[in-house]
Amino acid sequence: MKLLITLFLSFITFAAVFGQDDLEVKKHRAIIFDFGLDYQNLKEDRFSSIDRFSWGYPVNLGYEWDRRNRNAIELKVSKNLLPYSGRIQFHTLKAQLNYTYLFNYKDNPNFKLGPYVGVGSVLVFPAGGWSGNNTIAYSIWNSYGITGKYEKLFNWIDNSVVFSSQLSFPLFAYLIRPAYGIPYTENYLKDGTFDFQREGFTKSLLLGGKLKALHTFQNIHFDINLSKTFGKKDSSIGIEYAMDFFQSTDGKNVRLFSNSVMITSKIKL
Amino acid sequence: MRYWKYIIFTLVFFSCQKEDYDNVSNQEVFKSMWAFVDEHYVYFDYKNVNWDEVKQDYELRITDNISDEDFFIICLEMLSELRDGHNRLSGPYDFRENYNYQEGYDIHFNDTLIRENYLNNDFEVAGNYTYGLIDDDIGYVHFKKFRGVGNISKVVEFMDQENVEGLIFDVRDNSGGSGQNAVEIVGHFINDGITVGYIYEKKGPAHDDFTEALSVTAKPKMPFLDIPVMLLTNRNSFSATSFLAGQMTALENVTHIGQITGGGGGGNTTYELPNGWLVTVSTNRFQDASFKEIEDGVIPDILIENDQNTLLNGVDQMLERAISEF
Repeated sequence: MKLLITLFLSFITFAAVFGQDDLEVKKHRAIIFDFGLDYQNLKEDRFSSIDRFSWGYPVNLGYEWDRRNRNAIELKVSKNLLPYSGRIQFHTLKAQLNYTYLFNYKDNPNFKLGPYVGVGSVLVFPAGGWSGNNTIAYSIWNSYGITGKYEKLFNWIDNSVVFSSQLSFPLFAYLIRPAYGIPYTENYLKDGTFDFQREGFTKSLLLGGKLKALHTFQNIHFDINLSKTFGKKDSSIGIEYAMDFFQSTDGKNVRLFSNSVMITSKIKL
Repeated sequence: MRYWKYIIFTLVFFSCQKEDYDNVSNQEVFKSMWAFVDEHYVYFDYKNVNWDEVKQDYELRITDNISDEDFFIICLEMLSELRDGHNRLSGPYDFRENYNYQEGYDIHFNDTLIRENYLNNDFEVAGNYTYGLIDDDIGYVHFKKFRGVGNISKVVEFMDQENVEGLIFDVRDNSGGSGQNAVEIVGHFINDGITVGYIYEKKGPAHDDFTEALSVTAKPKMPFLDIPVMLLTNRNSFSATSFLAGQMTALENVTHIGQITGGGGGGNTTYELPNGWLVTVSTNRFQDASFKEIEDGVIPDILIENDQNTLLNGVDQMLERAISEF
């Protein structure tokens, strides 16, 4: 717990010290709603030696506001059913909530940079016809990383088209995963008792994580967006390509890779 | 403009990916199955099986020329070297059970006979429990499958209201199910928490990579029955039912009567092979409160089995023996 508090305080300090004011102080609040189609690839070593591919329907909900710099809170959810492969199907559910703080890098109005903190989870579970102890695989994380965003206004259609691209990746994370081939965390199996009713499991789950760096935990997001703005450029609608790569090589490997095309919208409040 | 090429390439590349299970070689499937079993199965030492030698023996039989069905049979035979009723291979063929734990045992049980001749057709049903009274003062319950375990509270309430002097808990022909609720049943026969066994989970790929012994504790449940209990089992009492029998041996008021149970002391885990077949093996072990393995069955305090002719004449010898113990 001390570690988490230290990390959180480090994040706040980092943001406060390195955050630079925009040249033009803006006041802006908007909600974000994106939806689309993704093509997902799953490889979960707890269940299968097979790479699976399927279509899914990601949805993003967010809220962003500028005071001196840009702040955004975004919830991203993606649910997929990975197809029948002879005998079995798998559900995947990826959800993450990120808070991002962006400031202009070296007074460059087109490039923003900043830290983010996020919590999220990837759940994988068989859709039926499955028996045994390994009925679910989960990865739950609290990660700290960096986001870079490039934005450029084009001279098209009355200066109303914005191109943007964003890359974010975690530097380290507090990662919770099951021990070896079973759905329990390692610390749940260490206190000398075993409770089939899973009493106390939630607590041991939350305390059962490990600090992981880039080499064992990757959760990379990259997107390219083209939007048409409205009004005073506070609202917009656009199209986006996004690539999300999630992988944990801690214990049994899991990899979730998706390419998505989204309709994006930002509505001024 | 350069970037768009990459985007289009990525989309096209992943759109064209398809699972192609037919082109997986038999060797690849064999190695995947062998490795999964090697890293997760829990009874190699207990059963004295040298899994490396098994691999050498069976690997020679694998070629890409053999038929899919023959290959399936070879894999099944390799799995059956482990003599474990939980292990199975599921593919496009019906014969997925690989180890017959009933073989060599005379197993005779007739629940209709019990309802007619012992309960006089006066019985109640709650989920998988059938229960009533024998001679007005002995409770009888047959539990046929480990599903809907929670209905045990209705059974116990009934026995409590009827003020029975003893209970026959019959789990013959119960082939198991979800064993994690066995402690819930045990909880109705204790008034204080008690360790009913130990579980060992795998924590790594080596054959001896186990956790320490993790104690399994049954906690008291209401209503509570403080009466003598006769637990009836036969060789068809498998998996979760062996689990229950193993746990109930820790209780002083329980006498175990009948045939040795079918065993099946491990929880199991399933894994999908590169060709889509599913292999399932035991991946944790349960020992009773005195650290005895239950994998090969739980031995009763009083050994007795039914004779087919006697059963045909309307007499259940195992049940009669249980009644005589009160």
